[in-house]
This record gives sequence, structure tokens and C-alpha cells, in this order.
Amino acid sequence: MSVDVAMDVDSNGLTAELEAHGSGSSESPAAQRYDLCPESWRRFADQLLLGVGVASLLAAVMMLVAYNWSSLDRFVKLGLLQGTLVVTVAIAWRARWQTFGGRLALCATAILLGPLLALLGQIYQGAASDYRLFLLWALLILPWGFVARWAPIWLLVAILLDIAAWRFWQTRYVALWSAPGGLSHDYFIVAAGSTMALVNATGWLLARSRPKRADLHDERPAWLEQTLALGTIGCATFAELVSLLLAPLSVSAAIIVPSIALGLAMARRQQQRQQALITAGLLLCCIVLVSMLVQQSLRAADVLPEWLELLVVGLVFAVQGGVAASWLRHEARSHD
Amino acid sequence: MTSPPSGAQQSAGSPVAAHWSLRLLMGVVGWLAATCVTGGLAILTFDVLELDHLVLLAAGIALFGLALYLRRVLLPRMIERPSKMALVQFALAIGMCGQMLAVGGAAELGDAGAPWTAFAMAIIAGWLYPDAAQRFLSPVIAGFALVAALRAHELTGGSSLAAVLGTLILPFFLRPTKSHNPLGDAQLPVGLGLAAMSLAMLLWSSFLPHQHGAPEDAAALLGAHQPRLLTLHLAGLTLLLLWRIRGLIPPDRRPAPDVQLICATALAALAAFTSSVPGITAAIGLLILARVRRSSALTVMATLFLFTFLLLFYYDLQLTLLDKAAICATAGLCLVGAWLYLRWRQRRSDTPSRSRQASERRRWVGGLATTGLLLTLVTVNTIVGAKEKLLREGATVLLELAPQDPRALLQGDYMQLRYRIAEDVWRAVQSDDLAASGALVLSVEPQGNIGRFIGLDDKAHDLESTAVRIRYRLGRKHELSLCGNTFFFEEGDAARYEVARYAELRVGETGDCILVGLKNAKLQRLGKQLETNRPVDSKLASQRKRGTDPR
Repeated sequence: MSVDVAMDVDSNGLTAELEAHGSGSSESPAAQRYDLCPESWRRFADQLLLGVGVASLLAAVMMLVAYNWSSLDRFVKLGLLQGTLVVTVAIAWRARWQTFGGRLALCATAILLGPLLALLGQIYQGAASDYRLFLLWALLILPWGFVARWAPIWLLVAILLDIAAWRFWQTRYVALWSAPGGLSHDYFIVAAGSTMALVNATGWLLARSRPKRADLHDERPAWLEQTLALGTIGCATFAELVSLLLAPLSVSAAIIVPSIALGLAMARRQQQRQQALITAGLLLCCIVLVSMLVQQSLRAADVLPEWLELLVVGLVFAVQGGVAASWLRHEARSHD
Repeated sequence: MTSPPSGAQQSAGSPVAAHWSLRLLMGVVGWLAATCVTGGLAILTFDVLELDHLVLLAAGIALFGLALYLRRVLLPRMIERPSKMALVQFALAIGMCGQMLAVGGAAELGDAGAPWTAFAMAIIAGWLYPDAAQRFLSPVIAGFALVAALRAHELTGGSSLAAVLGTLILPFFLRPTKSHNPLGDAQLPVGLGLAAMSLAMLLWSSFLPHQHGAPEDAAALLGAHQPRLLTLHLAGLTLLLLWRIRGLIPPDRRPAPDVQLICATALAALAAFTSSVPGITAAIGLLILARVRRSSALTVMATLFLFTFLLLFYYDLQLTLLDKAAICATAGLCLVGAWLYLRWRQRRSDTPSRSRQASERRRWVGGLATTGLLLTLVTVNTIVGAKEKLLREGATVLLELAPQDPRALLQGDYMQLRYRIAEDVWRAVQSDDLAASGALVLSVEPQGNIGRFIGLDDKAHDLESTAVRIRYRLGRKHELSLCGNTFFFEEGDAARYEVARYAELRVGETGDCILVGLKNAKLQRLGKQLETNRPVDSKLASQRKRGTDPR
């Protein structure tokens, strides 16, 4: 490497913001509107060129692997990809690990491991998109996650574990409960959704916990916690909605009613923590679950024509929306 | 246009309740309620009362008028209460339902009736209805309606046209706000809506052009060059934007001429090399616009668009994966090359301010990263070693097939294999009440090595010398998986494997197996398959070596 790829950018960009505002005050109105501070534009150019450039290069590697070029010997393919992994770790080392460049290089390494494992499956004809591929991928990138301490890598780990959980239940469900005449295969969605909710919930808890040492440059931005929380809530709701459609009403109601209570309790807690986005997600899921439970009960009872059933469900949605609005206003006032 | 303050500002009474996500929650719930109500009313009018479509059109317009009256006249006079926030969303939902009903009613006016009505209503609603959500959705609906209307008149290329129109108008709406702004509150939502519409149209024109026949005239010729013209247009707009920004910077503070030249050249080269793929240029242009406008919504939109575009590009069948890999690699090299130049240039002019970290900590971090790398390489090569051993020493077994085929997330094109013995195994599993995964026993013919299913392995008896044990797993629809039931091949080779009748496996003593390749009915190998130097004295393999290889 003839060029030192180390980046001197601090990851939160605070300095840039201060400089931008500081220099902006003496500029023309147009310059102020467009934020023409050269330093902040240089930083932007750095991130744009490097970010999109690296994304394109990674996409190129993935497409090349997927092409399955038969003229290349299998050991050459394996050697090239493993070599690329070594090079990207070396670049991260040169860039001093926790700079933007270093973190990006480690993230690229973590992503490149996927094509390498996919290549193994491709050469030795393993199962397509096997859950073990995603699980192994997620586990092997953990050390780089600890080194980089960067939210995108942790998000990648969570997504990979989610895909692994989905693929596991999709392909192994029958193998685990094979009794003929047992539950339909669609129940794998319930099992997979619940597992994904558990995975995301674990991530959510970890993302919420504060780093022990401030000097570790640990980056756990609010969006990571919010994304994992919404992932948890979304997956759990999805699993429950599917179980509502598949299982007998009494069984699914026995699961859904306690989970709505839990959801509301959590919404109250999140509201107190000023986590508006998570509160909104929890409330929306509770409202959807209640409405769908009403709709399924009406359908099971079969007393109303279809159009009236839809009107009633619409009304149920509207009433809950109103109640949620008043509650939020009330909570906000009592908080103040 | 002076519009009343939007719902966002009105409900800003308390800090928490006014958070955008809570307003969005109210919106989504209001819209869900309104959708259910409209659905119920639609079923009532069509199926129960069987009303005329023109009545529906009139009812839709009336409903929209009512919403407009509520939002523009009644609601601004109300005092701030929680119910007002819900009413704002309810009025919005009624307005949307009115538009949907009107479009449904207009469907009877001919093929182009519904899309043109949707287009007109979207423009009117975006202009008159003072709500950010409506103003965001209006350009999106108008864009899709325009394409549908043009298609109803048998004109293709509407999606590209909508993308071009959207990107041309976009800059006027996304200019940083001046103190006296003629567009008022409408500026940002309409701008974001136009951006979303343009990106959606770009995806549509890039990946759906072959789903309808292009007319055999000059338009067809233009249609063939659509992606290139779009890329040229987008690159032109991006360079124009950068030129405008450059003009605003005082000459003494501008970047050095060579830096300007390199940035412009990198963008131009990127557009030229990826001319058949407008998405990458569009994402870069939008990211620059997002920076100018300092809008995180636009940044998120552009980033998500880039990922969606690359994913659809991967699954698209107009180019081979090799061509696509070359295009992406060139784009990456252009951008990373420009970045390297900028770094080098900066290092020459600046004295770098290295923020030294404690060397002890860096050593620890470096050790962890290297351990991770070593762990990865050892894991991968251990798997390779085990597979190669199986390939060298395993017994050869052929199994009869009934094949089918798609594309995997990361691994490319493959053929889904269905083994003929699957039904026998399923029956045996059912009758013996055994688990859906375990081991099965095959008898292998000395001539041709073709395997026949004998039964499930009960581990009580030793195997005969002509029998092998294989681990299996049964999936959905009695699908039998032995060593993975997929066969990966180079893109474009699908036809070669269509005549496959047998799968060739190597089976180890523990029941592990590996799929080596496919053979036709005459037991000839198809295409390339896993080759290795098999030792002559391999006991299981040599047992059935005679007369197996037809080459």
C-alpha cells in the first residue's frame, strides 16, 4: 500500500459541525444556506466516494462469486477470496482500526466473509442459502465487531442471525416435528418470527447497555437501539398475526391477550424513557393485534355481513387511535 | 399560496406527543381505519346495493371536498385538543378514501379513465390539501398514474419519462429555504415525494422494461437507449448541481483546480462506465442533493435506493453476472480512485493530526482482529480439507433424478434436485414411524454404481459389501435432502443440465456425502464437475471402480 488510508475523521463529526457553524457566520446568506464550509464538504466527499465506492466493489465481488465461473479452478477462487480478506484486515490495521477508514475496512471484511462461505457451498454443492452459512457468518465476524465497535457491523450480525433463524425453521421445521398429520408447515413462520424476535430483543438489550469504559470509542447510536427494538416488536407481531390466522381462535387469543398487556406496559416504560419511536411502534402493534383479534372473532361468530364487519373493524381502529392519542397527551403532561 | 399551518405545527403543544413518530402512528391508525371503512362501503355499494360507477365517482369527489372543507376551514378554527390531532388525520384519511373511490368509479370511463383521474386528483390534492403526508404522496401517485395512463394509450417508456420529469422539477423543491418562500410548507414534502417517485420510476424503467412488447417504430429505438439517456441526464444534473455550488464559493476558498477536475472526471467516468445502469449515478446525485439540502430523510432514501437497486440488479436477467460484476467493479474503482487522489493531495498540503491511541490498547485490538482472521481462515480451510478428503476417498453412487431451477441469495444459479427415491423414503419413514432425518441404506449396482433404496438404517445390522449408508433429511412436500439437494452451475449453463438423469455422489463411511456432478441417461458426465486425484487403493471406491466411468 503506497497510500496511507488512515482517516483522521472523528466518527461523530462534531468538530465539523462546530467549524461549519463557526465559519458560516461570516459568509454570504447563500453560502450559509448551502453550508459551504470547505472542511465539511471535504469530509462529505471522503465519505461519499469511499462509501459508494466500497459498496460497489463489494457488490462486484458478490456478483462475481454468484456467476460461478467454471473456467477458474476452485482453489484459485478460494485463494483469491481469502487473500482479499487478509488485504482488507491489513487495510484496517493501516487505518488504525477505529477511524472511519478502519471501521469501513473491517465492515467490508465482515461482508466479504459471506461470499467466501457462499463459495464453499457453491463448490462443494451444499444446500442453497443454508442456515448454517448465515450462522457461521454471524459468529465469525464477532471479533471484528468487537475491534471496530461500530453500529453497522452489529446490525449486520443481527440481520444474519435473523436470516439464519428464518432459514432454519423453513428447512428444519418438518425434521423437528415430523409426526404425519401434525401442524401444517406454515407454522414455521410462527416459530421463525418468535426466534427472530428473541434474537432482536437480545440485541436491543445489549445496545441499550452503556459501555463500561468511555475511552473505548464505542459507538452505539440511537438508531441501532431503535432499529433492533422495532425489529423485535415487528417480528413478534408478525408471528402472532400468523398464529391468529392458522391456530384455533382460543389458542391464539390466549397468546395474544397477554402479549398485548406486555406491549402496553413496555409502551409506558418507553414513553417514560422518551423513546417516542419505540413507543409508537409498540402502540401500533397493539392496535393492529386488537383489531385483528376483533375481526377474527367476528368472522368466527359469523353474525355480521362482510361490509359491516369491515366497518366495525374500522371503528375499532379509530377508537384505539383516539385512546392512544389522549393517553400520550396525558402521559406527556404528567411527565412535564 | 398561503396555506394554513400543517398538522405537524398545530399539534406541537407538548414535546413528546408532537414527535414525528407519534404523529405517524396517528396517521397510520387513521389510514387503517379509513381503509377498512372504505372497503366496507365499497362492498356495500358494489356487491350489496349495486350502484352505478358514476355515482361512486361523484361520491368520491364529494368525500374529497368534505375532507378539504374540514381541513382548510373547520379545523383551523378549533382550539388545540388531543382530539384535534386525531381529526386532522381522520380528515386526511377521508380525503384519501375520496380519491380512491373516485378513481374506482372512473374505471368505467375506459382504460385510461382511472389513471388520468388519479393523476388529476393527485395534482389537485397536492396543490390544495395542506398536509405533509398528502403532499408527499401526491407526486408518487401522480407518477404512477402518468405511467399507467400512457400505457393505456399504448405508449411505453412512461416510467423513464416520469423519472426525467421528476428529477427536472426536483431541484426547485429541494432548494434550501429562503426567508420568503412562495411555496410555503409544501416545498419539502413535495420535494421528498418527487424524489421518491423519481427513484421508484428509475427502478421500474431499469428492471421492468421487458414485461411488455415495445412498438416497432422510432420509439423502440429510443427505448433501447433509455438507460443510457437516463444516465446521461442524471450525470448532467449532478454536475450542474456541483457547478452551482462551486459558483457560490468565493474563489479564494474553492478547492484546488486539480481536485475539482478529478471529482468531475470521476463522476463523468462513473456515468460513462455504468451508462446501462442509471441507479448508481442517481444515488450519488441524490446524496449530493441531500448534503446541499442537509436532509437526513433524503440521505436515508438515497442509501436505501442504492441497496434496493443493487439487489434488483443482481436478480435482473438482462446482463450476465460477469458483466454486472465488471460494471460494479469499474464504478467502485472510479470512486475509490478519486478518493485516493484526494487523500494523497490532502496529505501533501496538510500536516496530518494523528490522534495517537495508547499503543497497548492497539496491540490488544490488533491481536483480536488477527485472531478473528486466523479463526476464519482455519474454519474455511478445515471445511475445504474435509470435503476434499471425502471427494478423494468416498464411494461413488448415482441416484436417479427429476430436476427443476432458480437463483440463490449469494450463490448464483442452481438446480433444485428431486431424487426419485424420495417417495420410497417418505413411505418408509411413515410406516416405520421414524424421524424425518437419519440415515438410509442404498444397494449399489457394481455396473454403473446406480444406487437403489433398500430401507432406513436401524444400525442393528452390519451393511453388506455392496451397500452404503447416507444421512438424509426430509423436508416439506416429501422433499429429500441428502448432501444438500441443489446443484450450482455457471450462469447461462442451465440448458446443459436439463437432460440430467443421475446425480453422482461420493459417500463417506460415516454417511457424509458430497454431490460431485450430474450425468445423463447414458451415464455421461454433463459439464464440469468436481475432479480430484482419487487414490487407486481407496477401499470403498475401488470396490466399485470397474466400468463406472464412460469416458
